[in-house]
Amino acid sequence: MKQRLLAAAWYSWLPVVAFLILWFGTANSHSFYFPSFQSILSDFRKLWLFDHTRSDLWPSVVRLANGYARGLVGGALIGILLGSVRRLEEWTRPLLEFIRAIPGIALLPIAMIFLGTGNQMKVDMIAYATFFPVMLNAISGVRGVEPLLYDAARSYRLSRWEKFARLTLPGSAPQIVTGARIAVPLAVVVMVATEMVGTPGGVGYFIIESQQSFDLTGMWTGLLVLGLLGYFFNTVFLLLENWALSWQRAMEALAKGGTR
Amino acid sequence: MVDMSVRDRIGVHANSEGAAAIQPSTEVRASNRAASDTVRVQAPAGASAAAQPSRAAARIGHRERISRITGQVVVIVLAIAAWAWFASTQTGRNGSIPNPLDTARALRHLVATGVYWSALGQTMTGYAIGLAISCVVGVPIGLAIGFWRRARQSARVLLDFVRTIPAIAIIPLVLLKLGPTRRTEVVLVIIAVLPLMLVQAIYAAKEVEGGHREVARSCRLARVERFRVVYAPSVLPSLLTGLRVASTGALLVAIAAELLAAVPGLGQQLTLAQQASHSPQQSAPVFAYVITSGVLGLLLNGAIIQLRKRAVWWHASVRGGRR
Repeated sequence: MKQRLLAAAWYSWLPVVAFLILWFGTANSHSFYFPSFQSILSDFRKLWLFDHTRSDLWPSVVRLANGYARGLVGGALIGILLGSVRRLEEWTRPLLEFIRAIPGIALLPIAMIFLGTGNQMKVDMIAYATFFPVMLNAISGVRGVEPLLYDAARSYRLSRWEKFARLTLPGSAPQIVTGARIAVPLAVVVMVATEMVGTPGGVGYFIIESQQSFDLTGMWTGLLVLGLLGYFFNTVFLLLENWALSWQRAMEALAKGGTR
Repeated sequence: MVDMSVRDRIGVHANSEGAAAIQPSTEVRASNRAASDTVRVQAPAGASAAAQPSRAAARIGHRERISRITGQVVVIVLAIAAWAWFASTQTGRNGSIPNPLDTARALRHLVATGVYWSALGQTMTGYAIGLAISCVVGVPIGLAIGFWRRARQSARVLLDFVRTIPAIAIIPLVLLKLGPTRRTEVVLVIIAVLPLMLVQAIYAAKEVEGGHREVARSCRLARVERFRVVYAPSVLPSLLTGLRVASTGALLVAIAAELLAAVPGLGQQLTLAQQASHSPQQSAPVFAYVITSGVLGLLLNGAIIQLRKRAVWWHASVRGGRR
């Protein structure tokens, strides 16, 4: 108990100090670029409770969820396919390596030419950004499934579908979840970037619009919102991963030679 | 092979500290591939002592390689054909896309101009300076934090929060303050990559085994020796894997800064080409620049993989998973 309290204290002292420094250090700030923290927080209350939450944050979140879900499902399915059919993966590897090497943001002009600057383009770009990390992790997840298990499955004459449902899917799930977590920040980046160029609505649009009307305090509130959003997603994912993969950790402990 | 996959999976989940988790996926892939290569090479030698079967096995390996390369070429040709078909039949919102031939012509034309190469050089400059500063600053601090548990706990929440704000969102602020200059680009690259290297270094510090440290202490190794023999070999593999992720991120942010903040470079050329395009033929330069950035990404990635191979040749992920 005491140990825990101590750890909690170590975890929290620096954020508290940082907060205090921000609060008092910038209190008398008249800098145009770095307004006082108080004014940012008060503007945050005025702007984001709840006018812009409705007009900017909500559309962003819906867009993100939509694109992310598509990328996740597509990446997992194609990744599992490529991971299971070795030849297919070998053949498509150079092509995929090349496409992956293109910085996602460089595709923005092409997306704008072909898909316009509306919501569809943003969702598609988010899906694209999510797709690759999920797919690559799914491939290596399927590859990493213990080969002995397949031998055992063959000797039990499991059907193809049973092998898929009982070995391939659970065996690759941990890595797919990891890929899904890695994809979150990438999806957020693409969300912000695509919102900065095109049609109104979204946190990215809010930030660029505040900047263009020289409302730097407003812009800082936008950054704060992004930070909170990202932190929220990250935490949710860590919890999800911990919950979903607890059995996996137990297996690893065994594999390491420990008895748990 | 079995040991390796288990080990890799431990590697994947042992670090739940965030971006460092990017590392395992790539490393696993690399080591998997390396492993399959060694297996292919070693199998004939291990199969028998006689020369005859091993030569036959070599022939099979040769044939397999030819069939693999053929497959790869076929896939690429199919992809280009699909692109050509797409370009000729589909139209998007703001015009259709150029076909492969036009793009190749545009690329050939661009390669002969000075604008192209100077844009390439400018992007590389911003990328390299930003990445170098991030490594020089981030790695020592990250290692120092990583070696001390209390510092690790203290830095955790703050780092996690700062890291979640995408650097691209800060472009408007930095642009307003510093203007569309190389400095803006470098600052943005640092903002994006420094936290990444920091986290990776913290994670790398955990790779030093307590037992090794104790042995070093009981051998009374001098500090320099201890660093050379114990610490450097333990942290280097993970740091270099982090460098690869950081390099990808740095290139992305550099191009994003040029694209969204009009800093001169590949990204700005992309924007200019896009603004000038009203027909598929005219938008061919856009595609040419996108392909250029892809090749650039591929080359940088390859360079870092080579560097990693040379620097940590003894590491399991390079040698192919045999312990």
